[in-house]
Amino acid sequence: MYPGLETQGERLLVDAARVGDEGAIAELYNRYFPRVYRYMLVRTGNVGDAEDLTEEVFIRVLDALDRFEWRQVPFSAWLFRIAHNAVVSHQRRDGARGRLSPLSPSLPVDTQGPEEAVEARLALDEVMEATRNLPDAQRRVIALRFGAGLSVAETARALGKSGGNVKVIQHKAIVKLRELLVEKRPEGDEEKA
Amino acid sequence: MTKRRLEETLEVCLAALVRGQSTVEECLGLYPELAPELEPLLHTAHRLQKGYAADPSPLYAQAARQRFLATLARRRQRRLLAARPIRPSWRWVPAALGSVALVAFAAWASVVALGGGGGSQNPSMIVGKITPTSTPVPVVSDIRGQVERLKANLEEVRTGAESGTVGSVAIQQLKEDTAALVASLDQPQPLEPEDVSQIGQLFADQQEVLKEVKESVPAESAKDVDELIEIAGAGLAKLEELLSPSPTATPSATPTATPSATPSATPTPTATPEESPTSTATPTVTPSATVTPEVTPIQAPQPTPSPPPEGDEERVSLATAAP
Repeated sequence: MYPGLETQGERLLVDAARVGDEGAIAELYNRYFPRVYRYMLVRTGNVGDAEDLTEEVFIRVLDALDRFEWRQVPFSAWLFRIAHNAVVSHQRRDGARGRLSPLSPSLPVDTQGPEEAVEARLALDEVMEATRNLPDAQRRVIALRFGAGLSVAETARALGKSGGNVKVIQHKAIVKLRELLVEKRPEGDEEKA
Repeated sequence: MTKRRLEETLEVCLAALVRGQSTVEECLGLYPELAPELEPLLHTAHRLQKGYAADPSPLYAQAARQRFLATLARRRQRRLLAARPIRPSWRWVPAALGSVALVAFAAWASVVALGGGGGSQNPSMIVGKITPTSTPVPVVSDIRGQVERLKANLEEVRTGAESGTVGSVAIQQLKEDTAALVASLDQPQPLEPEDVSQIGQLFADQQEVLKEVKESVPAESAKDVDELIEIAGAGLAKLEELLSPSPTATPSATPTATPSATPSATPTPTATPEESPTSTATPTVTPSATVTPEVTPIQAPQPTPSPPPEGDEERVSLATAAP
């Protein structure tokens, strides 16, 4: 099951948060914080920016929570629209689009052992760099699908596109990423990409 | 058509991969006719999925959470302050007129009383009875607002200290607010036990936090921190006084048994009461011809005010003050 699927429990939680229940707000924060962070990591390709923007998103969510309505979009899609707007504002603010910066050495990767960690870090750097070279629309889809963990339906709602359109963009993005990753690999190692 | 099918199948396989319901190989086995095109895409998607499983560093995540919760607390405090009804200035007019009328009436009454010759009351006594009612006193809701503000300030200092950004202004603000709250405890209006408990907990928390952050505050604020700890201690002592019964001199000893002595022609030098009085009353019977038992209640020991508690003892007693 996709973590982003709206459940009855989440609906209750969001409704409680909308009327100011701080426990519910804190719980939503716990649920979405890592996903927003990963989304920001994919969108910005920069740990510092991802951290700043993640916090900014939750402040914006606090500001707008009482205006959220179930009729329009699922909560996750609404939240990632806010996240997208935060990225756009950030890029406008300091022209940060495409700014490259290495991942923080303290960035933990879900692995065991130092060798695996190094390998995973390299793989992550590689994937991140490849993603940075995608056109914006593809990058947004990849960020929502693989960073935020949204389903195709949720991604479609967050982007205001149809599910079919999202699948097409996702397909193109993965093809493009494969090309980019294969280019970086030494000859004979293409299969792994 | 094939491309469309490929997109659909890719999504089906991706969903199954995310759910952990199948592996790349299993998925390829389900769609052998698409396997040559699907395989590289699924491997790439799998790599993306693994690559983006990065979590934020625990240190950052914790600090960010603290900041978020502090923001939440500040907003709640602002909401509370905004929700407090502000009396429009025109609404003070009737009250002011009423006060003027009362004072005028009091003055008139005193003149009449003195002029009549039979007045036994001093004018100042009459005015004295009226003036306290027009003196504004802090109300409980104000104290609750102060408590909320103080909690938010304390949280700010705590999170600031954790990230090494606590400033002297925040400490100064905390000091002023704490002193104001301690001063508010002198209000004549009694506090609810729940409020007393909450304020006590707050002072205790404050002392604890300040002792922890003392090392990380700017050098110029160290003295303020010490003073703050003392102010919080004074607040705790004041709360303890509020909780303790006031040591009044009213004797509570009432003789519980009325000694009865049977009168007789020959006075008996001693008469034994039928019931033993309680330890707080010792009746003595003076033998006489009419034998009237005389009861002299002996005052029970006055309640001794408990000495001002110190340190951790205060926290325990205050924390258990309210249910």
